[in-house]
Amino acid sequence: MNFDFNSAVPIYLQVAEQLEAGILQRIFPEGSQVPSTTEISKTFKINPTTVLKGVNLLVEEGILEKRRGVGMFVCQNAFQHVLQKGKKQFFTEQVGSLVTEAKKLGIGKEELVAVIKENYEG
Amino acid sequence: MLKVENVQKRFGKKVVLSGVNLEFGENRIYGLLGRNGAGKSTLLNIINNRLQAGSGTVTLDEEPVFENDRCLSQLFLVNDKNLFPKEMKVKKAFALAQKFYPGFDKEECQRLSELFELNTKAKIAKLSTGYQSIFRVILAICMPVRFVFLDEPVLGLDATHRDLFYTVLLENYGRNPRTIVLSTHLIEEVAHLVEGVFILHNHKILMGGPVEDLLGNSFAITGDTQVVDKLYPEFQVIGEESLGNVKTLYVTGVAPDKLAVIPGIAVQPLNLQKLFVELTKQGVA
Amino acid sequence: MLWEKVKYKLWDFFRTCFPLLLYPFLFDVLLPILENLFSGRRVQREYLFITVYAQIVHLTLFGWGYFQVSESRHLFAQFSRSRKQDFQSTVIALVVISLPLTWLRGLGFSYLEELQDTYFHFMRELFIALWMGGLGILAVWLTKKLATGLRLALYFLLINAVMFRLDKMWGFFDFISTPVLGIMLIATFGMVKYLTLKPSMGGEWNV
Repeated sequence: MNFDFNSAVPIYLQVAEQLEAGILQRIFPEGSQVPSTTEISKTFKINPTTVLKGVNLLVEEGILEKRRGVGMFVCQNAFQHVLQKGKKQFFTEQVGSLVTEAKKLGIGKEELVAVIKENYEG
Repeated sequence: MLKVENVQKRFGKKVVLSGVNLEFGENRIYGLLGRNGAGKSTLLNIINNRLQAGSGTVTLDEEPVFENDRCLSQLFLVNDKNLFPKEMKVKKAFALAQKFYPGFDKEECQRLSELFELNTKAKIAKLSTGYQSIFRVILAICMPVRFVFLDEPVLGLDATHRDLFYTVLLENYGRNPRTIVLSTHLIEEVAHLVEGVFILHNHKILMGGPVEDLLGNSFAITGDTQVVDKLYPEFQVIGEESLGNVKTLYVTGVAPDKLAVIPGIAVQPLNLQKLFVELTKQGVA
Repeated sequence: MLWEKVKYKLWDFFRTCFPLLLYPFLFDVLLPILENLFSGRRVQREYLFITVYAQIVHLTLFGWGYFQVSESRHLFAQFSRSRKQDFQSTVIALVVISLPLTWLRGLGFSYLEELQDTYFHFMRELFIALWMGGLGILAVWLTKKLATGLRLALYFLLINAVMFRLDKMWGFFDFISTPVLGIMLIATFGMVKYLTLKPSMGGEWNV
């Protein structure tokens, strides 16, 4: 896990994102336990309430579940869920800004598509 | 809830605090920031009954704290002053702490002393600056009170020990939630450790609130001087820098989406230290 | 819980003031008793009464003075005790110390019938005060606590001079009756309490 304290992204969101990334990379497989709030807090020197806020976000979305007295676990369909969420975010944010940036540089649609094709084949 | 209402303090003719208002909620970690001489230590001393305020009140759950042992038993302050007798050894101080506070965590105290390699057989006054800080910090962490105040806790601590201190603090807070107030100059080290922050400047609380909120709407706006100059009236500007034709404005209290729509500028978030430096640039009067 | 604090105060008091207590105890109390043990004279009740009161007032004021300078009040501040609690435990500790000493001192005085002469009594007390002051400075030098010892010595001087000057001027102890004694004790404590809480009167912890 990695945190950028200088980023515009609030820390609690970064906590959620980092956990999602872990799920996507299969570091936290479905059904497994994720590090506790206290562990994350201690290791990265982040206030536990902030960490909890990020974790709760994922609990609300059904990606993580709390098992009383044991800890936080990855939900059964979490991988797909995170994947879908990631894809959606990719299309709305990253692709959107990619096109905006391309337009700024005067790159046409076909040129962009061609480069994308190259990258897939390369 | 520990409330400080309109506290004023002067030493002779010199005004140190003129109407300080703040509140500490339960089970939170707070940072108290201020420049050298801003009055942080004075404020903490007043809260903990070591100094008397000229006027104003400090209340715990609506009860005045001043000379009130019931309230005072819920507070604990460590600062750079060694208030133990010169000949007293660390071990004896810990033993006394247990006598004065029956709930004092003796096991944790021992564990932390070993962890930090604190020589408990040494005389407190003879410890190095760093180890005196470590002693005080261990003492404070093991106190069974609702509000712990640490005034410059990491004075003289090397990076390894500072890291250990923060880890130990968070761990202890996790196991044993209470309110911890840290007054420190090492702002960036504690920026994300604390939940809320109070900035003491010009004898009053200049700004206070959840760190997330403060940072969420404080930015550095950079662009061509002409473009940036037009933005002055729209924002709460706390500072600026110019380099040739490029100007940077430091602003706070701004919703990020308001900035997204302005063309020709680069926007960067401010970190807590930068925000603090810009806010307190005029110096302490 | 209060007892823990009193215990600490006793320990701190002895640690800080032992030299100051030792000499008066030896010369003021022990020697006269030893001297008179072999002459078989009887205790005089009035003298016991007067010295008990004097001792309590003396020690209360001394308690305030001690309270202002002692190291234990720093410790009490660290452990978040109020000034009130610090003062209370100081006084209790001092009373515990003073009771046996007072009784013995009363015995000592009563054996010395020459002390019916008030002037002689006053001079004697002044001499003791000066002597204790001097010993205070000696104790300071020996224990390297200069500021503490000097201030303690000054308080001693002041207390003794004031108390026994009053005695000389008004025959202070002539009209003592139990109700008057009670009122005076309350007034003494009241005054001390007022003094310890008013910053302008030096009531700050200054720790």
